[in-house]
Amino acid sequence: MSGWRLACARAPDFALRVALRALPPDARGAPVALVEAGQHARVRAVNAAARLEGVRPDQTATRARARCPGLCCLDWDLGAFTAAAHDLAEVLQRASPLVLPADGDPPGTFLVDARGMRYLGGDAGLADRLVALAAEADFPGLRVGIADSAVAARAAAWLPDTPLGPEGPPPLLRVMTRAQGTRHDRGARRRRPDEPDDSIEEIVSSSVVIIPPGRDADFLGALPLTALDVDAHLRATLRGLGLKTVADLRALPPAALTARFGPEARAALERAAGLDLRRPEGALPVPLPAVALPLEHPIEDTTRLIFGLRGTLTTLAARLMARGLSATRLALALLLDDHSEHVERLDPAGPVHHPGALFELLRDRLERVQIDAPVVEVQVRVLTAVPAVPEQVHLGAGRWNPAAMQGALDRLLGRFGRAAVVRPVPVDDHRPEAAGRWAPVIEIPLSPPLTAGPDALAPPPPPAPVRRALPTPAPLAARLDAGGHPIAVRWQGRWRRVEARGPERLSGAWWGDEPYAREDFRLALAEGGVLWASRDPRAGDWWLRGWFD
Amino acid sequence: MISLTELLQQTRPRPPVGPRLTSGLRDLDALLGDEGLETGRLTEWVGPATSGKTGLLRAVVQRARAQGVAVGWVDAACALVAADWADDALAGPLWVVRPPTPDEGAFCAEVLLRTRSFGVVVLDGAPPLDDARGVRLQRMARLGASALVVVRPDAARRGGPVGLRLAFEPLAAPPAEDALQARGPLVWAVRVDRPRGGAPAAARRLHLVEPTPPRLAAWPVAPDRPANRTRPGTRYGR
Repeated sequence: MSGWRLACARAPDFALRVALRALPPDARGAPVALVEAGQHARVRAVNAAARLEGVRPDQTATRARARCPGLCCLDWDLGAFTAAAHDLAEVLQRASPLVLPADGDPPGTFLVDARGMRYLGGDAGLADRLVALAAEADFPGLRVGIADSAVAARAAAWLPDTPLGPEGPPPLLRVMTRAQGTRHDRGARRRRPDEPDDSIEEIVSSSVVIIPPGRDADFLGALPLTALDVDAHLRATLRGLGLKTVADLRALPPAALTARFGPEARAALERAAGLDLRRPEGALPVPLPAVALPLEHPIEDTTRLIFGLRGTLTTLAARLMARGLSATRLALALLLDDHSEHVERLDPAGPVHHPGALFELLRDRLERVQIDAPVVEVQVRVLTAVPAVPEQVHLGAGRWNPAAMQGALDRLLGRFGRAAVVRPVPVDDHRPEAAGRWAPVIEIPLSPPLTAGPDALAPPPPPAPVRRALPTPAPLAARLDAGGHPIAVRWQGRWRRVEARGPERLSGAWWGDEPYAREDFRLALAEGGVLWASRDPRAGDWWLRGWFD
Repeated sequence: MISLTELLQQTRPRPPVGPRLTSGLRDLDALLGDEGLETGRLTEWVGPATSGKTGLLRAVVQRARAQGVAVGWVDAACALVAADWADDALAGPLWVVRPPTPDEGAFCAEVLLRTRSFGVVVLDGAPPLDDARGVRLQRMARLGASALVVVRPDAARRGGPVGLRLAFEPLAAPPAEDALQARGPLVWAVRVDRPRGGAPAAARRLHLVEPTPPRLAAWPVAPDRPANRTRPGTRYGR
């Protein structure tokens, strides 16, 4: 025995419950799936209605929508789930001082220190309190497993949902519903008073499994291999070799297993024997700052929220700065009158912690957000943050203000997207329209640019006109001379005499998907001005690409 | 002995010599004035398509960037070509804002002016400003000591008082004398008028040069930019 008692608490469908808060109550019964973002989005969790329609986790989102056209797909927002798990951990700390989210498990799984509960009802009392606290926090049906090791406690917490195979439960696994006081289902039976207790579970209910001290190895040995918390690839390999239960794994020679499958196999053997050094040690991470603005009356026009938000954001900025943090992602949550929640995610162009920058970031979003019901509370949560970078104060730097420029960048990007604020970058290409590209502005230098006095400047080159391009080249009606050069073109609704300057023959990209071969001309208008046109040498068509201005 | 007045004059810090938002082109600067684009005021840059107004404004902007001035250019019509503006040698940053619709151009200009970090803000290709928006933009420009330039194709205007207006008109280019000249640099003239404003009316004639493409062959029958006959990434085609 290790002297430890551990509880593993698991909230079923935790992510789904958190995500469903974004929907009005009457919409939560519809088919809903949580979909992970990415190029090949996959379903991570589904509710019962979606399961009835044939939607399953690990399906692609496309396939899931094909199965269920009315499927409501919500984002798998790990940041939001982590924040909700943190909140639930704080609630569970009323039952035990050490509660930490379990690493490697889905959100909503916790390791709890179960020691020292002798005068508080023992293991059963702790389990009851955990279940009750979770139910108060709107996470009913908490699964609790208590054992000497984390691997056994985890397996016990997953036991009610562990498939035990067609032959039913192993003989030593018996399940008893505490409320009924009888052992039932899974082939269990009530123990007579004079019958020796050979069961592994001391107290078992439909949601609570408690392994008596010193019985972890026996409990684990009776479980299928899928219940063991080991590397998934190794588990699949072992199952391919015909191993079914943890006891089968334990029967293998350790040296040969380690030599063949490496240190992961050694770790699996140790866990199969109940040797697991994971402990809920350390403190619960301090949550990232969040502020809330409850409203006295529900507000339908979100732009009115802007007036009350500045003070709230000043508080948020002060909390960020007190911890030396800058926010890199925020969530604006609007709690609506119909008990749903509208969440807008905000991705600033760079880490922000100034109240003004936060205000500009949220103001623009509030001006454009569409909601279905009046707002009763506004919450701003920091989802991710990085250590704040000390700022260099430039005395006498004049107008250069990186914070203000970042605020402007955030506002423009938040309103129009990443491609809205750009800078020109040269590109090595023959074609004039491809010899440069617009690259997004992603950072702002902290220091002002080097300045030169006006007298230090070299004489400028002769001014050159600037091209103005049409979104796509337009067909150009042209009258040609004997040499095939245009003498008049139809532009802006009437024919104009032109003198063609050129051609400039361009060809290339034959190795790619979009080869080009054309002749560019500068068409000098008789009344002044120059057009930018091109001719397709194969078809002989003329195209207007723009003009010089 | 030195008088207190002289002492104050000697010890008082001189006002910093700010960047002059000029073009470096004598004729254009004569119309703009000694200090170039006036900060805190609205300058209208009016002319039809292909009148050369953008090229001349670029000369002012590039010179301002060379002095470390940040420039914001709202390309409301999304018509500019990046290759004409890419110049890494200039110190001052150039932000080009390309909103999805021209109607959003004034909003973008206001956001840029509000930072008070841009020495020049150009609103190009946006619909005419209404009076309220125009006055607000000018107020922002005044508070940030920025030069606000509105580039428009027509003279019909609204949007409050204007500090200076330059009207551009294209003039016919002389015809090429032979085929070789037809493939060389194209020089064309632009008439710039200062019809009214703080300074007396004036007009100048300026020339723009559309340079020869760098790889354009001098001999008319030779192909200009033939395709690279070897696939990139192979031994002979890097």
